[in-house]
Amino acid sequence: MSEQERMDGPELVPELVPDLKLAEFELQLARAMRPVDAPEGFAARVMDKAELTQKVVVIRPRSGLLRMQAWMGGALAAVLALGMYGSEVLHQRRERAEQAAKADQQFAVAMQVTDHALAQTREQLQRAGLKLGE
Amino acid sequence: MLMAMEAVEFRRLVETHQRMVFSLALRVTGEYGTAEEVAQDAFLELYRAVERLESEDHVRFWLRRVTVHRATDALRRRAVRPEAAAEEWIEEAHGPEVADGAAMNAAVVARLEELLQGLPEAMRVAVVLRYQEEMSPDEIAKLLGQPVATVKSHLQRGLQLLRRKAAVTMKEYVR
Repeated sequence: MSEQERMDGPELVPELVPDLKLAEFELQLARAMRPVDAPEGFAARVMDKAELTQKVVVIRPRSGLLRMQAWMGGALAAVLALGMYGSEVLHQRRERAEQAAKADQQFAVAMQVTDHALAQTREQLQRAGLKLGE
Repeated sequence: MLMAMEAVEFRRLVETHQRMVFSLALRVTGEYGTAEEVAQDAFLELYRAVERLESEDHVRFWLRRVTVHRATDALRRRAVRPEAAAEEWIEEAHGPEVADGAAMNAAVVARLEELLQGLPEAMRVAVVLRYQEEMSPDEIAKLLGQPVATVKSHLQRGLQLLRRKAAVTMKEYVR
């Protein structure tokens, strides 16, 4: 048996593993589970990502502001639309009121004309010795 | 840009703990690429949280906990079990180290790593923390937020399962 083999010990030979006691197996497991090296360039990649993360953090308020501006734009558009709709409704109401007033005026004029015509007719009939309604 | 001092200090932390973080991620996920992603995420979280951490021990504890959580999250997201991937990384992770014959037999290491990937998640995490990180059951319980009895049970059952599997599959292995 070589010096190296003696250092490794017989418990490390695969065919003997089934006969190992639990404590020996634990030892073997601990040896097998040494930490392994991180991949080449790992730290550099983490640093790059950390820098990107920081940029994102810096950008965040701006993107938040952009989101707020978009939201405010939407709200403004909605307010404008409501305003336009409201003014249209008011305009229509005013027009209807004006038309109603005009119609009332026309009706009053027509009534005056009718009253006048009736008065004249009554006068002519009285002169002829007749009474209206007879 | 990162402030100069901040960058130097953060890089020191990455370089100090990268081996531990990557190994934990690798042994829990069983997949090299996923392990790198998990390890990077753990360090990026550290970068955001470092001001709250009070000492080097606190950083180590925090990194172990975050790495285990992120690794188990990654495991749950993955639909397939990692057995197939295990063979791929075992060679990459242990190849040069075991090839010189100074450590234990490469075939045994590879087989044990493979068997570890076959353990249920909770047992595997406990076994990795115990044998890779050399943590006591109390420390593992604190890290995982589990009762000590649960951790001891996971360790005991995990170890017995591994040993039983080793006994069966390594006989086949040498035929």
